[in-house]
Amino acid sequence: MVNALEVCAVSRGFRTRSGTVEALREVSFSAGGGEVVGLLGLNGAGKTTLIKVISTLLLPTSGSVRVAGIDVATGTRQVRRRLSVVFGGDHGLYGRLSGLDNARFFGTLSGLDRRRLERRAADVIAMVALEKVAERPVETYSRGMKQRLHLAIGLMAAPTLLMLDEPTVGLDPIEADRLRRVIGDLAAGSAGYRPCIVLTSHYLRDIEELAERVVILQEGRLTHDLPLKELLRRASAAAVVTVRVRGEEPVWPGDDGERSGVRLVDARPGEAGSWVARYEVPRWEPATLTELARRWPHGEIADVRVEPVGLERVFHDLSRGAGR
Amino acid sequence: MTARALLASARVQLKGESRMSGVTAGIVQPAVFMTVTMLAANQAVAGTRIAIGCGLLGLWGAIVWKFGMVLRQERQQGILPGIVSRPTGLVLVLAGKSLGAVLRSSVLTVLTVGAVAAAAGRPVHIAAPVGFAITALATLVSAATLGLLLCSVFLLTRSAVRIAETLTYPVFILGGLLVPTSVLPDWAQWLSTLVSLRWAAELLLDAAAGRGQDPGDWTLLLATTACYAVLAAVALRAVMRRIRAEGTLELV
Repeated sequence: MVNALEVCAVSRGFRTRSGTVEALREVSFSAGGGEVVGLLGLNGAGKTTLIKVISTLLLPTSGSVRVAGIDVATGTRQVRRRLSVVFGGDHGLYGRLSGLDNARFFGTLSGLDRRRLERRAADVIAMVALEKVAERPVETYSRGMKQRLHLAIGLMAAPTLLMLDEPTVGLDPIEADRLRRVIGDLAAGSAGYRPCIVLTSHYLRDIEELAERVVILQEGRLTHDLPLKELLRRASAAAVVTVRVRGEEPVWPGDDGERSGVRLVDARPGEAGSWVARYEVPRWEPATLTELARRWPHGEIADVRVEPVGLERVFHDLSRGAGR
Repeated sequence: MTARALLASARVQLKGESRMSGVTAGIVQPAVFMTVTMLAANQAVAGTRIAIGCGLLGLWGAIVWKFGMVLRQERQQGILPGIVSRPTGLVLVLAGKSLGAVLRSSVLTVLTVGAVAAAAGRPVHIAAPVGFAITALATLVSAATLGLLLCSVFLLTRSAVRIAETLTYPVFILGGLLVPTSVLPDWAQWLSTLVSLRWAAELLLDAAAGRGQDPGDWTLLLATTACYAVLAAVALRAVMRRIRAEGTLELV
């Protein structure tokens, strides 16, 4: 069966006055129909460039991208019939036109015939719960409404591949939750089919709630391609341990520390001749306490506090190249 | 899909434009042209002739201005990526939206020149209205096609509006709209044969006067328009490919 998306060794450079900047370096991954892939990376990692290459706005310098088996460079028009890209933010809509008119217009550009256009526009507007304001000019919409309209427009042509670039950027928590619900329903088949969704976001909650798989870019390279479950496992297993020790200074980690994964973050003198030290550990288990005690051969551990590091920290480490 | 996308784009432009947007190009400018020309020309020059000349001045001014403006507005509103990533593509949308914008100011221009001519006591008289209407439509299509060719330049630069301003008067002069082409130097006369508005003006004058239209003028109007269309298609395709290769869509 043909994958909804295949990215094969894609590189993309941009010429600048000081030379060529490589925004993407030999990136490869694929995604099937119905799959939701979270595309993660710090600013400048190459996410938006990759989205633009996939959505036919940019040509790759080398490598190839196929959408439903069609090459984006040679079969551009056919690819455009099969994909929609939804950019986040306030822009990209005709403010003086109503939401329904915007949906109709972009639907026409997607090749929908007159009969299907009207029905589909009404359907997608209802799907994102904008029926009550559908006839109002878009310039009167809140940011959240505009974002939902962007999504509705993206769904007009029932795309095989739907790309969402920062869909919840700038939204308040309630609107972000509402949009995540809509995307979640869509991924579950609310539109009558399950599109392949590629989602970029800086908000890990989007990824946590929506994606099944996570692809991480770092400086234009794909560094990780792992199931969300694995990312969550790492997040729940890892911890920051704070210990209060009565005794002398701690042993700073050497080779032993690196092997065990227990890393001293900082240590400072505490009250009454004690020390307070913070460690990062890959997982909290009884053996970890033994390892910490080994580092204080002449001290006595008086208190231990364990805090999970969370998804943000795991993402941060992965995006910076740690934890590979 | 082509015609529907073209019409939908024109409709979106007409619905989305401010009601005041056609005032400068469709009312103020033609009224000024008409008044100045009426005052300068002697009474023997018929109002119809002046109205046709001023109407064509207004049409070309509106085309270069509107085509540049439409592109700039789409960029400012961040709509270009949404259009380019759809199968219809940017060119058809730009053509439709620009036509929509020009249509509004063209209607206003016709009404304005007619009203000014009538107010000056030199009313417009069209002896062959059907032939005149057909020629006017062909003129609009021809000028719009030349405007589309200019779009390929507008797409490559942020200075679309400035270029539009620069391109206004050369076409006025080469098209024989400001001075008769017979007074131009030889090399400029040769260049003026490539400007379709020159042939459009001749045909409109013939239709207004009820004279038989010269088939040679029709041939040149259609041939120049066909050349613009072919060149526009080639240039826009090349420009769109370059934009995709260089990644400058949002920078235009």
